[in-house]
Amino acid sequence: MKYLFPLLACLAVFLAARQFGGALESGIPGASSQKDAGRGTKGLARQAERLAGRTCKSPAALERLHRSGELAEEDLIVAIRQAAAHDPEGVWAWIEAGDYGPHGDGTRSKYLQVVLSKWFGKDPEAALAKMNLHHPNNSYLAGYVIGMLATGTTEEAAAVRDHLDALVDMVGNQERAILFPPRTAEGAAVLMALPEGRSREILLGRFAAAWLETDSGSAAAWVKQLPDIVRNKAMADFTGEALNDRPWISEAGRKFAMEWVMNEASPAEKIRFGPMLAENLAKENPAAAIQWATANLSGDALEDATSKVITRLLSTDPEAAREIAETLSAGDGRTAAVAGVAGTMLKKDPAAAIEWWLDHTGDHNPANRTDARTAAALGSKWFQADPDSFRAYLADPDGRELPFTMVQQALKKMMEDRDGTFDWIASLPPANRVPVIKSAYMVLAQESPEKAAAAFDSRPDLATGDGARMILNYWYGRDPNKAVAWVASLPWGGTREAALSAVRKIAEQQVQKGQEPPQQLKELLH
Amino acid sequence: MVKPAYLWLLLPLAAWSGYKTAPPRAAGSVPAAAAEAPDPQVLAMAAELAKAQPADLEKQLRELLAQAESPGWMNRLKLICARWAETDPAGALAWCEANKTPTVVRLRILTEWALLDSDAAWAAVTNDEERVSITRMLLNEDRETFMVWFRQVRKPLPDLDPAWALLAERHGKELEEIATALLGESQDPPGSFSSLALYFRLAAQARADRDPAAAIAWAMGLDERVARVTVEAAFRQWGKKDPVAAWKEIAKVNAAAAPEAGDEAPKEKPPIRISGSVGSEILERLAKDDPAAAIELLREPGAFTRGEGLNGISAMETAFRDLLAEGKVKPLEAYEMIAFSDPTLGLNIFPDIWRGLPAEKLAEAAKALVAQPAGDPLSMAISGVAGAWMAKDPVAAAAFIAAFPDENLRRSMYSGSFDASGSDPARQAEVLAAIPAQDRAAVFAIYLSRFGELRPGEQSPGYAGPELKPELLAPVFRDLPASEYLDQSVKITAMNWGQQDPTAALAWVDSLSDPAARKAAYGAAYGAAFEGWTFKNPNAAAAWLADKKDGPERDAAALPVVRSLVRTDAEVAWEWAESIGDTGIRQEARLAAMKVWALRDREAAQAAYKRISGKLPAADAAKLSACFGGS
Repeated sequence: MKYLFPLLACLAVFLAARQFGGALESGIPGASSQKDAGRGTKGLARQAERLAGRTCKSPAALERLHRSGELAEEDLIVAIRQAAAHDPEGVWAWIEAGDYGPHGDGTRSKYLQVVLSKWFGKDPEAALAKMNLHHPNNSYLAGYVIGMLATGTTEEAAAVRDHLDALVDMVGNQERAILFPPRTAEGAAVLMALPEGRSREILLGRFAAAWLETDSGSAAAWVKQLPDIVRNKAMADFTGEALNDRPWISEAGRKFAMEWVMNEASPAEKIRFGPMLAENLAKENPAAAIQWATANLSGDALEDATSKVITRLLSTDPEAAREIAETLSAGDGRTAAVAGVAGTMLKKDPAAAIEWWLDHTGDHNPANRTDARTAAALGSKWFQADPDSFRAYLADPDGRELPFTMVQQALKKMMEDRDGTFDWIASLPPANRVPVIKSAYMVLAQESPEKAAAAFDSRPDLATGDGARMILNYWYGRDPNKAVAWVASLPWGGTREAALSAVRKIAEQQVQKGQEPPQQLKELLH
Repeated sequence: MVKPAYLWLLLPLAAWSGYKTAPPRAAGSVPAAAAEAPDPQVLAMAAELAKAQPADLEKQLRELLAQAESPGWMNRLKLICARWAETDPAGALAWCEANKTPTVVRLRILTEWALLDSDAAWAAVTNDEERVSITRMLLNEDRETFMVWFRQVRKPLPDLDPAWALLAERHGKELEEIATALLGESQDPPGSFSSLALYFRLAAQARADRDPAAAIAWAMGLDERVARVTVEAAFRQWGKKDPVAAWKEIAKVNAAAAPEAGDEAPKEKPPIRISGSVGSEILERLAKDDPAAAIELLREPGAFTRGEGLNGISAMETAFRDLLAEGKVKPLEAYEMIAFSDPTLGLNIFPDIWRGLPAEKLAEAAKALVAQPAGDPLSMAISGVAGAWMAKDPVAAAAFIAAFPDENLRRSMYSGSFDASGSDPARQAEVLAAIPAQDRAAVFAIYLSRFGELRPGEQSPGYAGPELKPELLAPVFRDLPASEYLDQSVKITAMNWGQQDPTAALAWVDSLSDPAARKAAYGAAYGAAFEGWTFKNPNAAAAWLADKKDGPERDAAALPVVRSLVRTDAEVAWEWAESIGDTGIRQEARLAAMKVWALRDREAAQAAYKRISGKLPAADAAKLSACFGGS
C-alpha cells in the first residue's frame, strides 16, 4: 500500500500531462503531429520521410497535413486529389469551410475543381448537388466539368452528357468559364455529338466564335453548316471581336465577319455592327464604306459609321475625307464628318478651316445638342491650336458670325486673363462684341454670379443687356434676393431695362409653375 | 529495496513522459486522422537514390525532365535534388546551368542545400529574387532555417498558408519587429494602404487568439497605413471563437467612428470603421450554428450601414441555403426567421436560399408557404421556392402553380421561374412561353417593374434589369387576352425593339390583334425609334410618318413625334398636333407644343391659339391659355 499511492500518483500525473501536452504543443489543431516529421534526419532521408508521410486518404488527414505548415500550394493540391479519391464529399466540405481570405473565391474554386476531377465521373448527381450550392463561381466549376467532354475518361464524358443542361444553366452567361475541347475539327466533333437541344446550341455557338477567333480559315467552313440560330449567335460574338482590330484575329477572319454583316446579319445586327463594318471597309475603299452605310444605316448608327470612316481617312487622305464630307446629305453624319475634317484643317489654316466648316455644316441650330457640342469642341480646338487666329477672326469686321458655343468655349480659356480679355473685347468692332460679351459674362457667372456682377459694374463700356441677362440667369436660381438687389442697383437706362425684362420673365415662369417670386422682385417690377 | 518515499521522485519523470507522448489534436470538427502507412512509392524511390552519385543523378534528372508532370513527378524531383544537395550541391547547380534546366530544379537544390548548410547555400545565390523564392520554399520545409534567411531578405509577404501562423506563434515578436522596421523605411504615403499590413495581420491573429480585446487595442494604435487591416484581422479571428462578442464590439467601434454633426475638423488620425465584409463573415459563421441569433444580430442597429447590411444579407443567404439543404432548418422555420421588414435593410427575403432543396422538399415548402398570411414577404419567398422547383421538376411545379387559385401568389410563383431563367434572353423567352396565357403578360410586366422604369434611349438610367431580346419575346405575347399587363409587356417589347430595328418592331406592332396593346406599342415603338432620329432629323421622321394612314395608330405615333419636334421647331410641332384625329391625344400634343412655343415666340403662339380657341371646350382652352401665364 505504501508503494501503491506514489505509483498511482505518478500514473495520474502521466495521464494529465499527456492531455496537457497536446494542448501546449500548438494552438493550431493538428500542427504538432507533423512538427517533427523529418527532424533529426537530413538530406534525402529527411525529404523521403516527409514525403512518405503525406499519404492522405481522408479530410482529417488533409486537415492534419495542411495545418502542419509543410504543404506548399502544389503539395496541397496533390493531397486534395488523394483525399478526394476516397471521400470527395468530405473533402468538398473541408474546402468549403476553409478560410481563403477576402479574395479567396478563386482559390476555393480551384481546389473544388480538383475534387470534381475525382468525383464527377463517379457520382455526378452528388457532385452536382454540391456544385449547385456552391457560391460564388459555380459557373467556373461547371465550365471545368464541361471540359471533361474532351479531357475526361469515357465515364466522365458520359456523365457530362447526361447532365449537360444543368451544367450549362450553371455556367449562365459566364461563357468564358467553359473549358472547351481543342479548337479543331476533332474538338468540334465532340460537341456535335452532344444530344440535340438548347445546351448543345449554346456550347456550339460559343465554341464556334472561339474557334473563329483563333483559326477562322478552318472554322469558317464548319460554321457555315451550323443551324441558323447557332451560326448567327456565333457570328455575332465573333464579329464584335473581329471588327474591333483584335491583333489575334487574322485578315481572313476579319473579312469573313465583314461578309456576314453585309450578307447575312439581321437588321438589328446590321445596326449594331454597321459602324464597325464601315470603318473596316474604309481601310480599302472609303467611298464603298460610305455607300454601304448610307444604304443600310440610319440615325445614330449612320452618324457613327460616317464619322468613323472620315476619322480613318483624315489620317491617310484628308483631301478625300473633305471631298466625301462635302457630298454627304444633311444630317448627323454630315455634322460629325464636317467637324472632323475642319478639326484637321485647323492645324494648317484655322481661318480657312472655320470658313469651310461654316460653309458645309448646314444650318447651325443652337438648340440642337449635337450642333452645339460640335461647335464647342471646334472652338476649343481652334483656340488651343492658334489663339491669335481666333482673336483676329473675331476682330475682323467682315468675319462671319460664329456659333455661341464656339465662342463660349474659347472664352473659357481667355477669361483666365479677365482684365486683358475685357480690354480685348472693348477693342472689337461694336457689331462683333455682342456674342463675345455674352460669352464672357456667362463664363464668369458660371463660376460666381456675384463676381460676374462686380466685373459687369466695373466695366460700364461692356455693360450690355445680354451680359446682364446672362448673369441673372445664373444668379437668380442660386440667390434670387441678391440677384434682384443687383438689378435694383443698376443705373437707369437700356441695360437696367434688359435686366428687368430678364427677371420679369423668370418671375412669370415661376408663377406659371405655381411658385411665389420674392417680395423684393414684386416691388421692383411695380 | 527502494524506500516508498523515493517513489515520489518519479513524479517529474511521469509528467515529462506524459507531456512528450501526448497525442496530437485533431482540427475543429474534422475527426482525428488515423495514422496512414508511409507511401511505399516514395520509400522505394528514396531507397533507389540512397547511394546514387552525381552521374546517376544527372541521368535520373534528365529522364525525369523528359517526362510529363504527374502526381509522383514532383516527389521524385524533390528526392533527386535532396540527394544531389547532400553529395555535390555546387556541381548540381553547375549542371543545371549548363543544361538550362527549369528554374524549379535549381531552386529545389538550393533549398535542400540551405537545409544542410544555410551559409553555403546563401553564398551560392546571386540575386535577391532567387533568395526570396528559396526563403518562401523554406517556410514549408523548416521554419528555423526560414527565419535565418528571412531575417536577411525580409520577404516574402505573408499569405494564408498555415505555416505563417505557426511561425507567428514562435517568432511573433520578431516578425512584428521586422515589420515595424520595414514600415519605418517604407515610402508608402500616410493614409495609403501598405502591403506590410499583412505582417501585422498575422501578428493580430496570434494576439487575438490570446486576448482579442488587447489585440484590437494594440492594432488601433498602429500606423494608419496598416491599422485598419490589422484591426479587421483581429476582429475576424475573434469572430471565429466568439462571433456575438466580436459583432457587438464592431457595432461599438463603428458607432464611435461615425462622424458627429458639425464635426468637420480634420482629425489627426481618422477613426477606424470596420468594413461590412468582416461583419458579414462573422454573421455567416454564426448563422451556420445559430441562424436565429444571426438574424437578431443583423437587425441590431449600429454595426452596419445600409450598404454593408446588404452584404450581411448576402452572407446570410449562403448560410441559410446550406442549412436548408442540409436539413438543419425546415423551410417554414427559415421563412419565419427571414420574413421581416426592417427600416434600414428593407424587406429581406432571400430568394436564392431554396435552390439546394431537392424537388420533393421544394414541393413541401411551397405547400407550407402558401398557407401563410399573404403579403410581400410571402410573394417573394414563394417566388423563390417556385423558381427552384421549376428548375428541378418543371412538370410537378407547373401543375401546382397552374392549379393555385390566388392570382397574385400564382403570378409570384411564375415570376420566380422567370427569375431563375437568369440573364439568358433565349431562356427567358422559353420560360415565358411555358407560362399559361392568362398569367404570362402579368408575370413579365410585374417582374420587370422590379428593376425600374425602362425608357427610350440607349441607356435607361432608372432600369437595372436583364437584357431583353425583343425579337424573341415578341411571339410570346401574340394572341394573349387583353389586359393592362399585356399593354405594358407589349410596350416594353416594342420600345426595346424600336430602338434596335424600328421597321421590324412596327411590323410586329401592326400584327397584334388586341387594339389597346397595338396602340400602346405604337407609342412606345415610335417613341423609342424617334428618340434619336427626330431629335436630329425631325423632318425626315415626320415625313416617314406622314405616309401612314389616318387612324388611332397614327395618332398614337404622332404624339412622340410632336414631343420630339417641339425641341427644334415648336411651330411645326404644333402643325403636327393639329393633324391628330383623336381629341384627347391632340390636346396632349397641343399642350406639349404650346408650352415651348409660348416661351420661344409668344406672339406667333398666341396667334395660333386664337385661331383654334373658339372651337375648343372651355377646359381645354383654359389649359392652353395657361401656357401664356394666364393672359
